[in-house]
Amino acid sequence: MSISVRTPATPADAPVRAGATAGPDHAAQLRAQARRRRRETGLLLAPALLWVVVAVAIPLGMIVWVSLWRADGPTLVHTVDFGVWGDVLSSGAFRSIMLETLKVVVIVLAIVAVVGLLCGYFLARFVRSRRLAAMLLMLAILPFWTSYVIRIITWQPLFGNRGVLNYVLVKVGILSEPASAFLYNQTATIFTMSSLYVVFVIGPVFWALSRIDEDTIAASRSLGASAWQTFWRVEFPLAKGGLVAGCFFAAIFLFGDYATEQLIGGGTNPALSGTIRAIAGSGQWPTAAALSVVLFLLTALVLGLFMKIHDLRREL
Amino acid sequence: MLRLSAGQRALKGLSGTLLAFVLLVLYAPFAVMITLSFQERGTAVFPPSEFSTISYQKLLEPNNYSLFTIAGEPLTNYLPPLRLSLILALLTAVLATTFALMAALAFRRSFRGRGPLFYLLLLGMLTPGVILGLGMRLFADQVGMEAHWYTTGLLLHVAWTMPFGFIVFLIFLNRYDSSVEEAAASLGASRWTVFRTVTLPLLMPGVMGSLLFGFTLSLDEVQRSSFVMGHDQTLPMELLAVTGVRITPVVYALGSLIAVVSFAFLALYWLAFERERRRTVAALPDEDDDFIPAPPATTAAAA
Repeated sequence: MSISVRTPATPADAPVRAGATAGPDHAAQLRAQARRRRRETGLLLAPALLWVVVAVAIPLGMIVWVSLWRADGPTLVHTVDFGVWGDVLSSGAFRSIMLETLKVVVIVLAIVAVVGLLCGYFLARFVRSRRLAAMLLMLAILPFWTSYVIRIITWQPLFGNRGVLNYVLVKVGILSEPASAFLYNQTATIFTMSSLYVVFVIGPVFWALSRIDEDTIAASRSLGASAWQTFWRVEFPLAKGGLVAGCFFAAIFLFGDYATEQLIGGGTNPALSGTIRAIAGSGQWPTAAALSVVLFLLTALVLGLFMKIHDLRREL
Repeated sequence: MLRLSAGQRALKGLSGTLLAFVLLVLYAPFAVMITLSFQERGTAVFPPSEFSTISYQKLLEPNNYSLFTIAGEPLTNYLPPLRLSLILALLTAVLATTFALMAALAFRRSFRGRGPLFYLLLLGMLTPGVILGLGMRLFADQVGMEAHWYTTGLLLHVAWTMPFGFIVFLIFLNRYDSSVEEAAASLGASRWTVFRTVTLPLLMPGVMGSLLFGFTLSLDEVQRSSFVMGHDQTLPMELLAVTGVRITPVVYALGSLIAVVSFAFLALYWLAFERERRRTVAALPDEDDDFIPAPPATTAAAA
């Protein structure tokens, strides 16, 4: 005594034609369509997913696994051993590198956030001609698309002992002789990084602010809000998405950037990424892997914080 | 337009000055680099004492050793790394854009696991590069894959650039009116025809944006590349290695060429992109008169 949902079509049944709207047939058609759509979705996703699994997920898994290996002299023993983790976490040197990394990232992010917000605000609010604003923004964005290494090394002849800055300062008479204080230190690194990544904030802030209607601002002002109140209560909340998006992307690049520190900072104060590269280069893979896990978690923490402040999926 | 208050005028002055400073900081290095590329010897000395095009000659004739007279000057031939970088960047751009477009099309629908998959697809972009480079190298060693630009190198470059394309396509698809596709389908177009003649042309600006991301990000990729290229050296890796030792005017000459060529390329690309965008915007129905039927008079006049 079962209730059969689908009865096999017998010749006695009405002839099944495409587009017929008989109940069970229609349901079967819908199911077939749903199946086809599911298959299509799967096929569309397959190449990207497969690629990400092989090129990203498995390597990340390898990092975690290798961090549990043990170095027995020159040979690596594939075990599950927390020895390397103990060394990494108890080492004062590594701890200070982590703190330095975080410090540099936070300082640069603060600089690019403030500078980017103000520049984006200027372009969106004070440049009357939209064309001119778009062109100035283009001008700010262009260098990002050129070579990153080239953009870093060009700061050497600017900051160097016999570079432009020293030349100008001596010529003007501010310095009596060239100073070597401008290059190969953390300040130079922070300055160069800010110049590399500030554009990530300018663009999104400009776009977010230019979506705001002039009338919204006028309404706020005519209801008695001061310019300052209008900024904090109306414009800033609307610009926040752009600001967070910019900082988010700047952070992605910042955590991995070791070349700036190497070429402009002089390699004296390497961040986590530079340390990982150096240690891995010397073959100490388990230690490099453990530090990589730390860097990954640190990055995830900061990016997660930005997502908490503003869910960037809303900007898509 | 409201009159600016004193506070706003101050803000305008401050932010305007800051923007001018930022632009100066962005462009002064290029100007200095181009100036220095025309000196004969020395590194990072300003102002240059003589004018010479010998650095450009060295770039073009890397095997003419009589040109290289500076003591300790690296005898680097930049042409093979440049060729490799261009090939890798093109391949990366095409693969990343294709996969990103397919994935973004799938994301228009809802399916199980959509949320976690979104983050998984972006993971290659979110992970600091040096971690991926190291992880890929460890993985390759484990499975016995040799590190080359076309194996581990390509894997990582596509994984790094694909998320940017994916985001670009999501942004375009979310602002796009799917009713044109439905219209085409209801007029009897097959799904493939709809994609080829309606969806893809409308997404052309997105395709261009994604290709640009893929190409340029791959072209100057160093963070991820250090452990995965084997004996193959890309141009930025070669530059980083050389500049770590000693910067000679040849590097500035190369940098100047790269800068000038990229600016010219980007200007042309930008023009093409704008034309494409205007064309697709024009092709879409105007939002304002969506539901207003054309008055009979105009229809008659048109007919």
